[in-house]
Amino acid sequence: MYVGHAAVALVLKSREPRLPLIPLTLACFGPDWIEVSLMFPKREGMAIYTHSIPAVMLGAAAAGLLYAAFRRPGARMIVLAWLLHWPADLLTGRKPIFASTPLVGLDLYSLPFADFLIESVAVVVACAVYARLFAARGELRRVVVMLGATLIVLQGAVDATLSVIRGTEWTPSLALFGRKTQVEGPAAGPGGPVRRT
Amino acid sequence: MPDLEQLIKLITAQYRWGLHPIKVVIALVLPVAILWTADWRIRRLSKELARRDSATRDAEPMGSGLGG
Repeated sequence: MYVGHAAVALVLKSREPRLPLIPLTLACFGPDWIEVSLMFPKREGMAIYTHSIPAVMLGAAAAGLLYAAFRRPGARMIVLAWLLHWPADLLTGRKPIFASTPLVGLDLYSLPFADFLIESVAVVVACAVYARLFAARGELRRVVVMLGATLIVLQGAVDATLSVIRGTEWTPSLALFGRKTQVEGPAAGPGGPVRRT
Repeated sequence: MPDLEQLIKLITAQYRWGLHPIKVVIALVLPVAILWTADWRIRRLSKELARRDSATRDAEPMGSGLGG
């Protein structure tokens, strides 16, 4: 997920208005920041250290403790923001659970239009929640509309790029693991096909 | 010659669209910058509107609407 993480930050900001938006947004993108910093020495295969469930939990705890050490209010929201990265990524990519395989997720990045649709809806909903609390007047709401539009344009650019660089087939993990052959071809006896349970 | 053209195309495509870490960094900085700018603008505008409202209230004549 890309701007969807920013949408999560906007919603969490509405839950804890005292929390500054920058650390909250950084926490929402936290696993990606760690992954990109690991990409410099070695470019691939870093997701296990950043996006697996243990890695996300460790990262969230570290970020929460670090934030609590400097500023008091909102450390729990920082932890939550980091943790929510994993379910959000489950929609758009395929991420490790505990080890490097299997990867799970709906892999919507391979369907850029569907990804664009879902992330845009997330941005619209988050902007509405944010505007309800922070932008009661028309002048302020205009800024929130601009914010939402900019994020959606950004997502559109990313999805357009993805549609060019990724020519891969859509392979959601649930379909991969659930769509096993139901019929045993050669092993099927005279009484008909054997159904797997 | 066609091979060279192919190679140039490949390199150009890689340069343009490849997932280089620098591009990922830019992609990660952008939403943070956009959110921070909007939040900062809203806070500034809220203060400005509040100041304008209080100035308008102060400018209203005392006891207006009471007399006949």
